[in-house]
Amino acid sequence: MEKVIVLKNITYFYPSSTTPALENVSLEIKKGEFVVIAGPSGGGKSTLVRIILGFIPHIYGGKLHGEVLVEGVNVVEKGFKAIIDDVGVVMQNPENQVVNVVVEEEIAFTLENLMYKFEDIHRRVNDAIKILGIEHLRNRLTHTLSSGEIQKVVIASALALDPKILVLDEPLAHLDPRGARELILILHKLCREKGITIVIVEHRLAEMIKYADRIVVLNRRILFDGEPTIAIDELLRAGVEVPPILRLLKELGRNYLPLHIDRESIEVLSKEVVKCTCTDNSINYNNSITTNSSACENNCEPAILVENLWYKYPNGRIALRDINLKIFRGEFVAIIGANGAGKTTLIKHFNGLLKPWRGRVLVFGRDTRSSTVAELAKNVGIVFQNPLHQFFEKTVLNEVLFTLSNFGCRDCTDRALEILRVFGLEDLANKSPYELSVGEQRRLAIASILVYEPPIIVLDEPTAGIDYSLKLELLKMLTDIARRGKTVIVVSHDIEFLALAPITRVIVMSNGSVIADSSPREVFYNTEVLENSYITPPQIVQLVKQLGLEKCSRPLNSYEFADYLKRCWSVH
Amino acid sequence: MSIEKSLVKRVSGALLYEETKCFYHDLDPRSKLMYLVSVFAMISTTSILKLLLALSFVYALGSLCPRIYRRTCYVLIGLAPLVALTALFVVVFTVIFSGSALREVVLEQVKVFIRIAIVALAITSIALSTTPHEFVHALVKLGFKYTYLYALVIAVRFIPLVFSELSSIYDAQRSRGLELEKGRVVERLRKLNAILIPVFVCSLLRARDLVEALELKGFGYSNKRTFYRNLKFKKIDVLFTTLTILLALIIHLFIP
Repeated sequence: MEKVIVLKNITYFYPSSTTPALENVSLEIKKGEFVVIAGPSGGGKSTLVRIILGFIPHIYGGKLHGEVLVEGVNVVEKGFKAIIDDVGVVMQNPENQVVNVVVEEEIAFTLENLMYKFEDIHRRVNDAIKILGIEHLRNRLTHTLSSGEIQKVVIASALALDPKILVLDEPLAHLDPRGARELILILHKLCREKGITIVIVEHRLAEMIKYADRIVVLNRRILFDGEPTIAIDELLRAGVEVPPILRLLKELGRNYLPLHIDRESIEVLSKEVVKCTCTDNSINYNNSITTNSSACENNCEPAILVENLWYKYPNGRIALRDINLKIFRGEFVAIIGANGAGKTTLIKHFNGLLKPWRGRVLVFGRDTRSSTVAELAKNVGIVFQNPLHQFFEKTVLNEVLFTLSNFGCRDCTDRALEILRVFGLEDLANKSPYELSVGEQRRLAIASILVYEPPIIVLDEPTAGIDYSLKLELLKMLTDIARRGKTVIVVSHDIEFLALAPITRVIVMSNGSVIADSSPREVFYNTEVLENSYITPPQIVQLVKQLGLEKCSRPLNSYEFADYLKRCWSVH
Repeated sequence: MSIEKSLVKRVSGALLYEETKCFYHDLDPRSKLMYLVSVFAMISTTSILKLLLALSFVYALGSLCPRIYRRTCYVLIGLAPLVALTALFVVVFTVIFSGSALREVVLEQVKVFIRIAIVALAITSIALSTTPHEFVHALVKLGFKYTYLYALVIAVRFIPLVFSELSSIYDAQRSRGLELEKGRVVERLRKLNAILIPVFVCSLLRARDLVEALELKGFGYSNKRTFYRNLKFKKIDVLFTTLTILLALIIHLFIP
């Protein structure tokens, strides 16, 4: 089959860097393939994309050795200009890729720049809109679109050129589960029906892997290149997220390793669970964090009390509708829901960044309407999604000291160093926050909030854009914080991450309302609630339901289910 | 920070295009540019009578799309503190240092208010109904180079993003106990770094993405470009343009 992308012995150094970002990388991608490039953060995935597109060295400079051919064109010499008609691209932050104000104008923009005729532009714009089913977005303003809609517009804009190759850099990073599934299906359809070669850089593989023809595992060098079914060991070794069903069967020592829940995996597991009876469900899932909510229902003062909370944005849109909640000390709460469900708006009420339109919010009995953000922040520390929104000091240590000084703690260097030590950042204390890796920045953002010891800590989408090993690191950190008796509230739509966390309670939001508030085993096994909030249940939950086991046992992740099956076998 | 925030928010809000169509959406961007030229011609006078007449003409034209009044009010309320402060400053200093009569100085400021009210309505009606892309198209037809004009499109596109980022950064720092309202001036200025530096860094990253995006979209590959819309100067454009020119002429030729 015709090779559309060929990389020969690529080694690349960014300007003023002495260690190579990529080392001796050789890769060939054939026409019509669906290739996923996976690997840990900082492993050179985005660099590889920039090399394929000719941005390296043309925009970024640096030293590049080796040869890059795209559709037979040497892009190192000729740059992206020479392949623009053949390659469509969706960059990591598609929001920054949209330069026009109206969707239709954006889709036509490249064609206009390339001097296509009026009639051609109309035909191609209409075709692209039709393929992606976004007729309803045609006249919308681009800044009002959701992340999923923006992705579709960028893809439509690329498709209008009728490209042979589509390159996407971490397209799932900011999408909720529904948006991610929709996007993967669109890409799969484009690949199979229109024969477009798809190259995706991504570390959220759980959904994606079953559609891939090939997986390339990259960590500065290519560690693996082949079919997904044989890539498993390498993926697990590289710390890349794999489907939980695969992890389960690996845990059970089975040879059959499926990429999704298929008939064969159900058959294999059905034989195993036949031995189990419902009397075996005396399994205590290892949630070592005790929940206070049931014990405190009537007796304790809640840490956060939300009563009949309504919130209306200045543009008149109602974002929260009649929310009633009690969150107690020591709870580990997850707030889930699709993008735009009102999750972030709700947590901004906990430290007074937003004030109720109707109703009230009390934090340890203090009404947020009559308190300043600084007063409330003493009790509620919120870590927002993007660490770069916080950093401004010259060193990591100063960044932590800044928070302490805001809360009146002068000469607290020892305390700041102590928190850096706890978060494994002590050695980096004198480095600039901008020099840290993505994972270290995330840790610093949390450390700079935790340093003043707020009893409640809230994290907004903490897993967005981070790889699986960093997620596990974050999970450990949050579990430790919860064990120290802090109230932890995590806002996320990363269900597989939440299925691993020792959460005590899940609050489900949809369209500004709370539609469920219960234990994770109740909520994640309630198909109706999850469907109404456009959330996909964890894969293990789907599996247990298909096996008809949910009345006996309700595991949430592969470790719990493997544990259940092993205990079950040991009994019989 | 609240006055500056409200001013910026209201004025930038007024510059945004609205999807819901009204009379001005159907006009050719060139006739809207001509309207703007006529409006500036109308206010190029020192006569209060002429200015009041211009005000009534322009606000009468606003009735072709009544929601413009609401948007203009929104802008004027946003501008009010700045305009009021400037006027007060000018009145006080002119009276004290130049010895002019208070009545004359106040009258001059009233004229400034009228001019601002006229321009605010005209600009709002054009911004609300014209995408920056349409402006570029019109100006390219008039002989301007598109690569320079696109700076305007990009500015309009990224204004909401930068403001939303600014607001997120402000929220993130307030959540760390930052209080810009407290402390001495020097300390407050130093604290402002907590907002300005992240805004600067994030804008640089956005600029890098933008450079890549423009390269990906073939921007600037050629000195010329085509457009997917056909601009047509229709009957309604002829009528509207003639009317606005006539109004400007009436003010300057027939009013003493």
